[in-house]
Amino acid sequence: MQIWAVGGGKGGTGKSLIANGLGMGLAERGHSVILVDADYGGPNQHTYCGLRQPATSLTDFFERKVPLHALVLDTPVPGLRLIPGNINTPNTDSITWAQKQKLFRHLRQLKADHVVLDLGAGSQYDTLDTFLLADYQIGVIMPERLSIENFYLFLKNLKFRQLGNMLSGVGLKEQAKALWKDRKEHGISSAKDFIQHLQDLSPAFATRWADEQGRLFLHMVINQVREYRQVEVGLAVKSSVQKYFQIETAFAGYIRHDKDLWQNFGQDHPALGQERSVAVHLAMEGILTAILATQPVEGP
Amino acid sequence: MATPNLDRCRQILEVSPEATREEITSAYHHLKRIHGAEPGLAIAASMEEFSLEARQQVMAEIEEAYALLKAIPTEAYVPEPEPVAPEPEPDPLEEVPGDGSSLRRARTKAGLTLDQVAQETCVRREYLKALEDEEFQDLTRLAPVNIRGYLTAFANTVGVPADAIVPVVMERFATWLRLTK
Repeated sequence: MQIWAVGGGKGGTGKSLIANGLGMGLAERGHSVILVDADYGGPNQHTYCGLRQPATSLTDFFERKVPLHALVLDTPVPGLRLIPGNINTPNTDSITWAQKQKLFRHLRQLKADHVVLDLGAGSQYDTLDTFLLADYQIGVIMPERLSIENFYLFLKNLKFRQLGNMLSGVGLKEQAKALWKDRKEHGISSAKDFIQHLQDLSPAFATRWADEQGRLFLHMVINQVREYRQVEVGLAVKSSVQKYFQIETAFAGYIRHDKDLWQNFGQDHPALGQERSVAVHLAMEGILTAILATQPVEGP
Repeated sequence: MATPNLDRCRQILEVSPEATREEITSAYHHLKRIHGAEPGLAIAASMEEFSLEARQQVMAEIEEAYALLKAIPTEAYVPEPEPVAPEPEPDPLEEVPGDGSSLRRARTKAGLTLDQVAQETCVRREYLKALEDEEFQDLTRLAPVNIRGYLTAFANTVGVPADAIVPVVMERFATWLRLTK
């Protein structure tokens, strides 16, 4: 089973759309797919799928301890099933860190070829950890400064989280903390310098870190493109991610702005169904093909 | 200095190991546009990752990688094909297979008169004649979509593959329009 995670910092960039499109595309290729709406702040996947009042949701997992596999619902798309998000949770802050961790532990036990996770906005630890554990890591941006800035912050957090997790593993955590605190004195001004410093400090770290880099391979998607110049912005972001954040990145493709898409929601059919939104559907096909042409990241 | 790691250079220029000299040059210019000038949209100027020093270092790496790759002898690349002399421009209205006259030939071969084709296709005789003779001035009252439709019907009736002939005649019609404007 392979896990796909869709993240990328800012809200409203189209993570849910991409997650939904990937799930649908995989299902259309004959795979059994489960979409999991882990966007606690804004669960929408049920609406994308055309389920108006889902009978169960992640609220049941969090509040009533219903096992995950019992919450999988059919959608109108053959092969595509859904675990709706916490749509009935009145206070999303009440979902604890431990509960989120438990959710991700249970994901691997689901019976499907692919599990596609809609991670939602932000750079919380659970979002970052899930992203890092996924086999396919997808980042979504819009071609504008606000989205790009938040995307970089997401990646920076991701990199530091990866570093933090690993430093605990090699017993360097306290030393690294002290180093970071006095970073000015050591001439460290960025994550890149910091990692370089740690590599010089500990050969064991250097080896582990090199291995760990294989766990991160970013597929970048640009959403809501209105003119080709904006695709070029996306390509520039891709190059910058590689050069300034040292993250292996591939450009998976872009989706044009669709001014009519909003009309597809709130009905009893999937919003991205082929007959509803041909342009988005076709673009998603290309993106999925590009991602599947790469290797999934190595298992932990 | 150790042998320059050309794989690493290609990685910096974001090209494949099979990249040709031309691809390398164009990748270099592409990267220079992104990382060389003033911080563009792709750079989040407020982040320490994109400090002036960091950007200068990135650009220096790009320059160095390009210089090293450029220094590889040309033989090391896949030979580029010899430039081919361009074909002389044909007269746009010179008779070529697939024009209106081939509709007449096909019609005659099928033993059909223009009137019979007109009856079969429900297209007026004079339009069919204008198509055959490429008397495009007689067609200017029509919308291109209608001309296309008449042509398709004509071709189907006289047994000429419409896919082959329709685009050719339409292209010639467009050229005629351009030249007579």
